[in-house]
Amino acid sequence: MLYNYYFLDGLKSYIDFTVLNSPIDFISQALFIRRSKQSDTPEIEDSRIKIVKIVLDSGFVLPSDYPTNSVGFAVRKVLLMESVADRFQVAKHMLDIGFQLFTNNPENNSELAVQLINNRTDATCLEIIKNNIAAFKEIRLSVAGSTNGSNLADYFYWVKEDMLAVNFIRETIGLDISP
Amino acid sequence: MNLTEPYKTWLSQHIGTMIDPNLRYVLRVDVTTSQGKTTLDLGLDLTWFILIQIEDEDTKKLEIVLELLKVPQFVAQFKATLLIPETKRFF
Repeated sequence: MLYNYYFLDGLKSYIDFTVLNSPIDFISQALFIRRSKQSDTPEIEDSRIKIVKIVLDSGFVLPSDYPTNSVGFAVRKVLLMESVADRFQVAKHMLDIGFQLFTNNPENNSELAVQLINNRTDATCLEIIKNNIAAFKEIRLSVAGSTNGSNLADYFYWVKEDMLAVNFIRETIGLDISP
Repeated sequence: MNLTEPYKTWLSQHIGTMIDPNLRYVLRVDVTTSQGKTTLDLGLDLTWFILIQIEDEDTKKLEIVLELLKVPQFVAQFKATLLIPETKRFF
């Protein structure tokens, strides 16, 4: 019922989403609940993000008992919605209230880190990167020839051959190509 | 309570003439648990009952509910319904 944007928008001033969220993770439900048998369309992504924005704009506070991994997957989902123009602003808002950028899934984390670096010209995206430098330093990606995984600088140097990204990673994140 | 038209007529046609914020409307739903299929009785206040159970256009239902929510007792019951663990998962 409340994932019907029309009802949610009309009733939002009467709903305390922080209470509604426990034990139900309302934002994650809005982001992940299956809408059709096919992949999400831009229209579906737009409707998902509109619901999330209503909740965030309500002054929603992340409960302390919120499942740690859920907060990472929710942000990741938003950041990967390429059809949503303001996805970085929405994700930043989520991060500001306690959601987390990364999860306990290293592969997901490395994919997301690469996406963010590729979108670093967006000011909000850049801010997200700068606010999570320690986590970016921990990212490991599999690169042919490396045994323990490579850091982001190695990946952009050897795999992507993107020296602009390598310079950015060196100057902003503080990571360099492995000797 | 004093409801104006056309809300008064709509409520009379869809709910009845006895409109009380404290009344609960039982909605029985089928659920599947680890023990198998069973039924669950949800105690809804009038506003949620209208939104979920009454058949009419969404715009009309929301219009009626927002009119009811101008009354503090309906707001209290609307919020109370949202706090019932078995009920709010269906929202």
